[in-house]
Amino acid sequence: MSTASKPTFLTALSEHYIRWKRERSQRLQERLYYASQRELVWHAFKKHRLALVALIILTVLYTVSIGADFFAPFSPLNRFQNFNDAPPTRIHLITREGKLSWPFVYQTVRVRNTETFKYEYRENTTHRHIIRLLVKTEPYKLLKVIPIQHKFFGLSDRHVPLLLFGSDRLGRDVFSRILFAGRISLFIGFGGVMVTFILGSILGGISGYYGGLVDEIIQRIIEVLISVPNIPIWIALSAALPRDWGTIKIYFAITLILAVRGWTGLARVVRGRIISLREEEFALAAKAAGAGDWRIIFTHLLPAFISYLIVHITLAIPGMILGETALSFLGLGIKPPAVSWGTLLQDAQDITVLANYPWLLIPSLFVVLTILMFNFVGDGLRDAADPYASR
Amino acid sequence: MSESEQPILEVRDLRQFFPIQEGLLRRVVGYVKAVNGVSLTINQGETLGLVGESGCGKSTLGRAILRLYEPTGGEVIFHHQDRQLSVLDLDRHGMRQVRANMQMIFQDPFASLNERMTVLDNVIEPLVCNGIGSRPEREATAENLLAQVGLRKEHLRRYPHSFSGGQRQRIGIARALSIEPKFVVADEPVFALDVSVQAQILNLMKELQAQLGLSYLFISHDMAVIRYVADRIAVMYVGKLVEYAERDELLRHPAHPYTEALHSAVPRLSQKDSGNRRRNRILLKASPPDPGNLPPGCVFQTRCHYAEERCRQEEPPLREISTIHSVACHLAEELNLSGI
Amino acid sequence: MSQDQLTPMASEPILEIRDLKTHFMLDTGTVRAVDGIDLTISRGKTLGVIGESGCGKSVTAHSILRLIPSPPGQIVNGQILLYRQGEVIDITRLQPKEATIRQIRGADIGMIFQEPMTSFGPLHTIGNQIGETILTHQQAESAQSAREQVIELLRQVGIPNPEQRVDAYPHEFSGGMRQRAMIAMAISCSPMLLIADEPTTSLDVTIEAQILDLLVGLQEQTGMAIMLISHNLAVVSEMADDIAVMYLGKRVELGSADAIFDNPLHPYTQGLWRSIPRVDGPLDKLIPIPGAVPSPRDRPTGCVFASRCDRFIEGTCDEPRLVPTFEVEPDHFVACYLYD
Repeated sequence: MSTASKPTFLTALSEHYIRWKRERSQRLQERLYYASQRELVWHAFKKHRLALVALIILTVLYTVSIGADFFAPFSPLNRFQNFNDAPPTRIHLITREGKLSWPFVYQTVRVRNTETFKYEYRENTTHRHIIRLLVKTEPYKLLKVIPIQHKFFGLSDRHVPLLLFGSDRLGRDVFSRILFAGRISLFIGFGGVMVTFILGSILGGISGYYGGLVDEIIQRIIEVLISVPNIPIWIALSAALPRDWGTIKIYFAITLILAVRGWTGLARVVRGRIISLREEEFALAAKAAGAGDWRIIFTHLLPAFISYLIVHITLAIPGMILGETALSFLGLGIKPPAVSWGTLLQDAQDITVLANYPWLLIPSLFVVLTILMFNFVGDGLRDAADPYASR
Repeated sequence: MSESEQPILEVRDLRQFFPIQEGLLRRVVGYVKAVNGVSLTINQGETLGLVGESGCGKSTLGRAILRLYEPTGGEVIFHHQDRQLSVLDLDRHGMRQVRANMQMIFQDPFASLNERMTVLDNVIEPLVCNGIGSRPEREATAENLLAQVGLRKEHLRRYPHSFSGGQRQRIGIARALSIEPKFVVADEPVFALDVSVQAQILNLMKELQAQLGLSYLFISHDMAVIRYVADRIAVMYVGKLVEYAERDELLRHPAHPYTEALHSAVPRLSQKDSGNRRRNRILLKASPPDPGNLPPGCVFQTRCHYAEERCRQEEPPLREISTIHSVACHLAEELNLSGI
Repeated sequence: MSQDQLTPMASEPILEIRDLKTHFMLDTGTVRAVDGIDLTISRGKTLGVIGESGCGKSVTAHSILRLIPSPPGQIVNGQILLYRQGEVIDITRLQPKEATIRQIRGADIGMIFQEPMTSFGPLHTIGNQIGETILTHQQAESAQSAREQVIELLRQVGIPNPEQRVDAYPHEFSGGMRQRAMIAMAISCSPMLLIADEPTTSLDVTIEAQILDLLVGLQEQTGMAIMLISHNLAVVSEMADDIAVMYLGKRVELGSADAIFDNPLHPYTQGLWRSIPRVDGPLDKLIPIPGAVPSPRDRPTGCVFASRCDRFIEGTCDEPRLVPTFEVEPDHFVACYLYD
């Protein structure tokens, strides 16, 4: 029983609002009908705050690495004379007079402490060097293609060391080197994962769909490969690489080495899913429609769990990154002058070095951050990937 | 009723066995005899209802006929334009042609469509796989089909997840018909649907049959549904065909004790007197035998109230007791069984 | 069994549901699964609750035993009154973790489900699990006497060789046997009321007949009431004394089974009757109910059935108010403006 109430302005307004809300949800509903699986997954993924933040951070990391020419204040080979193992330059916000200012640094000079005979770095507080954005430099080519004359930030005086993360034992800016190193560390995962994906899907698909002898053979191969532990195999293979190979060749070789075991995990997942899905009605319907085996596997079965594959891959990338870092750390991976986070960490192997110059460990933070972010994104994807799960 | 008595499909002694493997070396220790020597004929334009309980092999039979499984033995003869094609002997190329004429409607509308493809792609898949028509022609066909099954053109661009069970089943029917088959196996097509939607699909299937001259093998466990759609009914039990007759004859005058028990077990919707609850249901003793380990003699003897010694020794063949009625029971002439 | 079936509701009530509303607060909106229903279950009688997916019949059953997961579900309105040996307990007021509700579950109200395996864990024998129920409700003094009771129960539900079966594990039972074991567990403490939520939906029809027969027998022996929930109208029509028809969370019709049969009043009930295939009676063309059950999130304003009703009255049926219930004949209630 509704009591007839005098329509006030407020009730009319709220009715309009309710109607607008309903129409809006209807429109959203309509959009959902036409949404492909990709769109549905993205829609669900966006709800995952942590994963979204992680994705943003990863995007930043990758952008900054790709554009390291622009974002890093110095080239990775640039040395500051007599500036080895310098601690991170202090950034000041308050002038000597106590006034607020743009972030600035003082020129630092290395002196030897007459009592301890250790080097110390003192600030020369005469002149303030303000850190500027888009500071002008000599012309260079971004990514060897785009001519550009600025760097993202820096000092107008190129000879004053601005060492955000300090310098290494050759006086090179650690911050810049980390950014450039990201190019190798962050991307080596992709190559490996591509190989893994292709090998794993094909072999796993064949294994699962056909069963029988083919399946047995592939599974036994997988088992043999898995039973050899990871790191020793990587070490053995890397050590076998010819010493005279250039950086690019080594890069691809490492990629393959990492993938040699990577594909086994994926192949098993693919096989398991194909076995469970090949008896499903939509697969039988495809067969009844006349689809050949390859079409059934690749057009019907595989896409049914592509989201699982994507999640698997997203979580495999960190493994590859870690693998490359480990190899390079041990001196078996990327060779100088190329830099990766692993090679940067080579400097941090000595405990006395660590004790005195702890900033040399900062590359490891980047590794940890990247891996964590990939894991969060993978988690978000995993939760989002089955948009049909609600039914 | 069928227009002609011309057969469109003949199944002769079809067998589908699945090996049971045990041990480290996966030795075959026995077989699950899912379909154990079934013979039947489907005429042009008619609906043959295949009824049985879970595990009787009716779904397996449907799939074996379409060669979705590779049958272990027997023959399937498809009558196509004055030719008789032995389906099980065909090579890939031959199978292509046959597949274009025999299609299937599946049971679970939520599992029988490819969720990653649009409705359009789902419906034209048979055309794509057989290389029929150009893209615009296929789209036009799909539009017509959707209209025929009661959906709209706009639905083509949508994805299956946005449709209800009944609508999905219609899409499945459209897909099966896109290639203009003559014979369709319908495997429990209404089982997973809401009661109020089942009638829509059943009526749709009947209309399409009349319009397109289709022949159906309609598989179901629900006798009431079978009664509504079928011209003739076949009863399966643990891989064997135990009875086979025209619809009304089978319902009113069953000749096999299993059929009698089935009829008795089906709950009745109609007239009700108070206190009628204790209707005399025939309750079968024991449970169905293990299809991997069948007893000798008649497959039903372990549960049959009328079983005699002969039943335990000798397997009864499927034989005609009238022009419209065949049964596999030694005692068919002696027993006077009650029907519906 | 008493002879006065003339006034079906005259029997003493043991459970009364008044204006029950169970809503689920999801982040996509509130799903009003049960939206104001009234039901009465009387001693020794069977109340059948029929409806399709989304009608709320299962949620009602779970609400009675406070099995609704909360969050997101919640009983937001109404009372569920249990009449027990002179006292009246409002189940909705009980704390879900409190001892009283746990006492009621099993000892006063038993429940069986569609999937027989939901009642049993796989790691303990059937005997142990049923025995535990008995001991928890202090129906036996020792494990030994509990075991004897279990054997007797298994015999009562028709499980052969109960002395051996009592030590078997759930996976060693077949489908029908598991259902019987579940029934044994549910009646182990002699409850006044047995709620059966789709008890035979997953069973073959011959096994279904056995289970239904068992339930009837138990009811005769013990005088317990049964609330039988099913979407299978035939099963309910055979078993129930009274029938409640639910649609989208509302009770649209309530009456004795005879009354609902001979004289269905609500357009939905009438539509159901016309659209269900029957195994006996005349073979008329089925008239389906157009459309499909709306999702519980898109409920129509006013009468819930308005969007599919062929007797829809513009201006009345879509008016956003509660549809009143009319008693058209004694003890036959319908919620429809046609009977105003």
